[in-house]
Amino acid sequence: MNSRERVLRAINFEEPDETPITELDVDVSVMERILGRTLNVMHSLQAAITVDRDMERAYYDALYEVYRKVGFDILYAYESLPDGYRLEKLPDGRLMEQMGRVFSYDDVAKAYTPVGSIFQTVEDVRDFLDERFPDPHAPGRDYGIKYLAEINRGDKALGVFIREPFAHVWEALTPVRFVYWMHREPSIVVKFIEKVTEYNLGLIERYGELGCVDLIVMGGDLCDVKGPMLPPGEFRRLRIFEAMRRHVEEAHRCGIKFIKHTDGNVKPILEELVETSHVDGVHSLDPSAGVDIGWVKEKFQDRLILHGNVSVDNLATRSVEEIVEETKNAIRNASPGGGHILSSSNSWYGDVRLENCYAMVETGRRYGRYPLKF
Amino acid sequence: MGILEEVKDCFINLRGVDEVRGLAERAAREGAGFSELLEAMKEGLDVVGDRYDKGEYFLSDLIMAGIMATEFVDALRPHLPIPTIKSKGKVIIGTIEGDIHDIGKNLVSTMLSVNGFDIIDIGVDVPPEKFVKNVEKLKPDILAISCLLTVGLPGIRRTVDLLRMKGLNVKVMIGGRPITRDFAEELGVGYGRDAVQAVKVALELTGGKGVKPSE
Repeated sequence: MNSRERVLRAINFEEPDETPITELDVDVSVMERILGRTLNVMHSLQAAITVDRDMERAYYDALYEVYRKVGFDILYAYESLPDGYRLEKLPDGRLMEQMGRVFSYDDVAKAYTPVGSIFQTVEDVRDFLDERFPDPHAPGRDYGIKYLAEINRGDKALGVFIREPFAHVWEALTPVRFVYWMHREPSIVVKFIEKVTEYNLGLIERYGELGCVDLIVMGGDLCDVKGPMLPPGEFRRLRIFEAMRRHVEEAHRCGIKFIKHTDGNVKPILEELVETSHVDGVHSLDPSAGVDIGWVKEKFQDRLILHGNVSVDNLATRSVEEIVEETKNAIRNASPGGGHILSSSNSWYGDVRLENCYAMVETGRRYGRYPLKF
Repeated sequence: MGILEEVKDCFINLRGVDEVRGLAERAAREGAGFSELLEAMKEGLDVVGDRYDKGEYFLSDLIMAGIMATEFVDALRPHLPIPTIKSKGKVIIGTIEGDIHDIGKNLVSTMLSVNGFDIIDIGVDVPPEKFVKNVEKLKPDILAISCLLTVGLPGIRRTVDLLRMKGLNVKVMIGGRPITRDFAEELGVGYGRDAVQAVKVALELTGGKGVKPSE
């Protein structure tokens, strides 16, 4: 059974030969430690920022090498910028991405992270949405995923990472403006969310046409450590769960599974994600926020693929022995009957201890073999 | 309902920016005292914080309360003589080196500010040496360090070590996702799990009754 077959069985709630393992993302600095060499690439988990196709290919070459070396089962690709796109660089060196967010370089991760916004007024937003909003169908959007599919040749499952409209607008407006306008100018917030939704639907349609994508992960947080970032009623008023369902329906039309990522305590909205948004799975299941993967498995059984949940914090701070125990616990609770993809609760971030990462994978291979022996 | 009760209720029930502005104007017409109004606002914010702690209110509610507090004070300012308010203390705040996240830091800043602290925000990705230099120069009552990523933990430890090496006995409080009470206790500093807790910790560190503004 190759990696892709393993994953397809697991996400269809059949027991494969062993629990599939992967990471949504491995920071470039961690990739360098794994490969033992410096990489000249640009990367961001949150936005398309690489304009240079040579550099984009170099990133995917390195990613593929890392995922093969570690033994991961799913590769995740990201949206590409259109052919010939020119990314605006601000005088202070920060980058303005196509969706209105401002990005800074994070030395530790060797990646770009959103730190600000170009939107100061409602008129700025309106102008952007009406006049300058990007086109999902622009040629080249699928460059990266096509390249990764070409080098993968069907060995590993292929996933694509897209951005949650709510989380995107929350970041693009900044939280204070989001909340202020949610109360005073809700129509502009709703319109922004709808525009990002339409944009994403265009991307999913394109990915579906490629015929090589097995799953979509929608990144962007809905929750913080205490629970949902908005009252559930506000999520409904802004039609966020309905917007997500439209993504899911489009993915399903293309035969692609749909997994929602969120950090934080997702428990209060899990039911809504399943019943209203119809997601196939959830990623993160953040143990640092008190999410018990066993509780989720018991409650949702074969209605929810569980992608997680070794604590990303623990990978950086705990001992190998503790990671082994945590990994065994995740497998024991989530892997029976399939429907589990073992991963950290976020990604392999810049300061993870490699010995802990390898311990997670080795434990996954050893204890994730079916029939499970616990 | 009297104006002070109205103000408190407005915050407790997050009745919004227009309401709070209207109350500020009414307070000005009625000649209500600035200190009493701020106290009513604070009592309302305390209830919001408690509800957030209990999971009845959400992050966006906390942000909304901060927006309302800022609007209320701004709307009052032109109408009322501002008495010499005893500051609860000067706080230097920043996100530790290696971490460029600012949502948590900004929220803590807002909550401390509306609770009577003077805030000096020195930004994100702040090296330990910069925290220490600012403490030496600005002599705050509290140094607050925010951190979302585990990569920031060694920097926090180093900041505390540097402060001790230099004999700077400023109160330190830390908070953010990867920070645990154990870690804070090990360093001998205050720990605020979130913005609401941060206010409580800051009040405890300054004795709860306010301190004289630093020179």
